[in-house]
Amino acid sequence: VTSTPSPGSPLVVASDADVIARVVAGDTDAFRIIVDRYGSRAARYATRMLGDRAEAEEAVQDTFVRAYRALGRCADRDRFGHWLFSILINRCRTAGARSGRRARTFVRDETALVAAAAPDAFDGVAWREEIAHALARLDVSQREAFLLKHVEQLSYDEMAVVTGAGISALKMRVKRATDQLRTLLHEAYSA
Amino acid sequence: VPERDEAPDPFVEAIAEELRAAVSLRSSVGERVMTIVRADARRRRRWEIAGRMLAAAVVVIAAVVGGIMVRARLYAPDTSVGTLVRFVLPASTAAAARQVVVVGDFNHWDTHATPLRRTAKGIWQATVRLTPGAHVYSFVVDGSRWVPDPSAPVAPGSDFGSPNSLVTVAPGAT
Repeated sequence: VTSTPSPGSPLVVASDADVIARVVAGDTDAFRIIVDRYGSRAARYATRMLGDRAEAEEAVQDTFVRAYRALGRCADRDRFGHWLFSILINRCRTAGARSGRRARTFVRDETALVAAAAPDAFDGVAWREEIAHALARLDVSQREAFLLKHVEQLSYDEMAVVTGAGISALKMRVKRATDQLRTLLHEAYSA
Repeated sequence: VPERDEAPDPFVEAIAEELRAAVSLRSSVGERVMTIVRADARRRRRWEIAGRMLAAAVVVIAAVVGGIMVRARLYAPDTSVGTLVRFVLPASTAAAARQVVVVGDFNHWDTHATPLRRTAKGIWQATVRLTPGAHVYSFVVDGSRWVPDPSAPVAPGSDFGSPNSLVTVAPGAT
């Protein structure tokens, strides 16, 4: 979760710390840079975690607003991404707990349906829906650990920072999530 | 990116690849965030302005109150203001005296308030701070003998009994 520009990029990208300094100094509009920089990634995590696009967008919006209001308390601005993600994770936990009893079907991602023009579209959509189903059946902490590890591609050290959990507990959650997904998706994967 | 001690798992990669597909944040979400953030900033600025105005008001009030207190001090009666007056009784007038005091309206005719000190030459003297105006006084030798100041005018109303002396302190004298 960093803002390092890609190698060879001709543009000089302002670091998170620089942008935050501008915002704190009163340049409120500079916060848009943060929203643009982290919006998609936050939306992806929240959508995968909550399984509902509208709920995910609400969580992301709330996360950015909370981050703005607490910017002064962000101790390490160079690791702003981690800090923002820890807010998002907490927000998703709260949202998940609130709607935990609600029956969940699957993520009906509009972009996924638009992509159905490809020859193997049916198989692709079906596989995606199977994954969404299986993911929704995981325990919240296991789903969280699996997404952070394999989708957001954080190291266990980084996961420990953003979740507040111990590394061994996180490894256990990821393993259990993987095992359960393997069981749930065995048929679909083999096909 | 697997950790160093982990081998890539094709099954996990197959799932993760699907889940890593981008999910774009609708621009309306970003706009809503910025609307809230700007409103927050405006509210915060209003509070800051109100805070600065309050601080300025406190400073003005403190200055006014301080000014009033300074003026009150300037116009208050100052007991330290007055003129130092030396009372002297020549050695010839009280050669054998054991004690001499000066009494007057300035010490409420108290025979203990202002004793004179005898110098090496036998002169009795004391210094008293007097407020501007006329003051009536006398020396009292050995607790009973009233002696007027031989170097001062006699005070009016001294026609009967022991005469008193008169000293006048000019206004503005220090």
